[in-house]
Amino acid sequence: MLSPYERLLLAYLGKQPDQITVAIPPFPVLGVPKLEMSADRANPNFLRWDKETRIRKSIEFNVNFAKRFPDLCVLDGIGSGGHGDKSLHLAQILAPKLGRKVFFKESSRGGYTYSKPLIEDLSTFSTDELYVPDLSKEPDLERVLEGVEMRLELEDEAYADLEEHVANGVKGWASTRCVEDIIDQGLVSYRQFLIGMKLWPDKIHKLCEVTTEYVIEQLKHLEGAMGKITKLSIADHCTTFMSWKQAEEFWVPYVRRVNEAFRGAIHIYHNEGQIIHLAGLILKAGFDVYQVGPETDLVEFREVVGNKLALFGNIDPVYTLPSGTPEEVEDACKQAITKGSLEGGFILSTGGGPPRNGAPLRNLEAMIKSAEKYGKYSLSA
Amino acid sequence: MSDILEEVSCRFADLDLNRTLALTKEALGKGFSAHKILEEGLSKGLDRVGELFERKEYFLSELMVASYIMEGAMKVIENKLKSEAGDGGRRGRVVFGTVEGDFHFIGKNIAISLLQASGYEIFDLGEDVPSEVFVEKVREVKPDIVALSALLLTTVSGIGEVVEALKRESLRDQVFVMIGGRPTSQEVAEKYGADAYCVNAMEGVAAANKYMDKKRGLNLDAVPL
Repeated sequence: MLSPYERLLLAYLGKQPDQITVAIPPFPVLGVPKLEMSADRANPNFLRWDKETRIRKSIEFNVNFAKRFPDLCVLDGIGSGGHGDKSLHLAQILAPKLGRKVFFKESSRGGYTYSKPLIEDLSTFSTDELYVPDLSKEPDLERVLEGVEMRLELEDEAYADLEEHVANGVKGWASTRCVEDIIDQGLVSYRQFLIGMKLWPDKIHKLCEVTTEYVIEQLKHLEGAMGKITKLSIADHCTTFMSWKQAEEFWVPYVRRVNEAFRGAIHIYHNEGQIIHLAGLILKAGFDVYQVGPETDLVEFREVVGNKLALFGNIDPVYTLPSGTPEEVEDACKQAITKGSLEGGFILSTGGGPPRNGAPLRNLEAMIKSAEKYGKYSLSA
Repeated sequence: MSDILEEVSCRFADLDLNRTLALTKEALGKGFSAHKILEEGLSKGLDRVGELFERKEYFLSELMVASYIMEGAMKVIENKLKSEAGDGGRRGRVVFGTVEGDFHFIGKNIAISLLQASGYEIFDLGEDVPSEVFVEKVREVKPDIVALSALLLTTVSGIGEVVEALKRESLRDQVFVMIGGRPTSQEVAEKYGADAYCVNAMEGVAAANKYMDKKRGLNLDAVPL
């Protein structure tokens, strides 16, 4: 019998393991002591913890999750920007060099967004001023990478008692954005980006160029600290708002460049939005796996991509998993498996992120049981 | 409709920024009222954009371009519009925010862009907005409409909290409450006492326009939408 991680790898490669695996990032499970409260920003104590405590508690939560659910493959990656550290953001680095200011807005949960990006008005800004900074000369890089190394050391220690495949599920994972980093790295607002594709396409291409090169540089430094990236997840939601023509022009070439810079890794695209009209472009961008949202019709999707792309997800983390009955969860899993896995290459997971405020134990168990019940049947069929 | 206003409408629907603005100026120069340019040229163009969006020929990026063009055109006709209308030329005032606990802003900002483009004055309270902040703003600016956005199932109840807070302060009857966002629905609107559920930003503009038309007609009874 294969381990959940081996099943995951086979499915990523488009093949049929003995059974469909459930692979999921840890989330609060209501009704299980030690797992009812996550160790992330949703935790009311989060802001009081120092960096090391945050990392320790997060790993502790993940290990408890893995121990409690040995039939699951636990997923957890390292962000290219050092867990969203704003000091490594492109806008933050470029702003003083360009004589500009950027402004952050802190949220009550410890996150932040740009309340004013580097470029307020793209129509008048000369993008010729932009360049890719040498990240190795940035003093904050060392501090961010120290955090990554600290996490890896603590993970090695924490996962030592578990079976090897459990640790393999979280090792070598890196996550990033690409074109959407134009917004997330604080260069322009979403609105300016969307308008710019039509009105100032050359400027948007320059932003894509700079951001893509910066993302690759961030990932290379990350790889230096964490070892070879074997699974690279790119979460670019901006395609949801694009037509085929726009995505082909402003997304595919840049994302493909990131994927090509990390040959040998499994390339995963995450976007829970409705992008069935772009299904063919996901392949063209060099992805092996697509984490698909709950509203996507898997049959329709398979008609376009065949079995050239592994699918991953589809269970609704907003309604079904946290609030549905076990029967509803089972039905959703059955639908996802029978529609998405006929030719292999399917992983049962949430379509999008995990349920933010958790889900009841009975629903997570229904998901695991559904993989056993329908995963084998579907594959043998 | 006159040829030039038809042309404004067509160029707008094609998302041709420069031609739309040039034609808007030309129409003003030819003596058309700002109101007529807005209603028969720009708004018709925006309606056409909405139809193309519904048919999935346009995507959100095109909607955003349409709102940008509309903003530019509004600047061209703004002064004339003000001189023609006693209320500053605005269709109405909207207090807009994402409910407490919810940090999503894309949908809200798209709706705001389109409402602004359609002539509404917007007071954007941002994201993660407690109900008391909505109440304070309503008291301060006396809006016609309160628009609430929520993207998480866990934050939808924030809609009810805002409505209840408005009721407690005897402000509820003075405003039209519209809601939108992925977990919202007609049932959610009814459950929490909102007046309208808007499936997308274009529908939000339509609901606001319908309400304001009724209000301006001095029919202040409940507006079925």
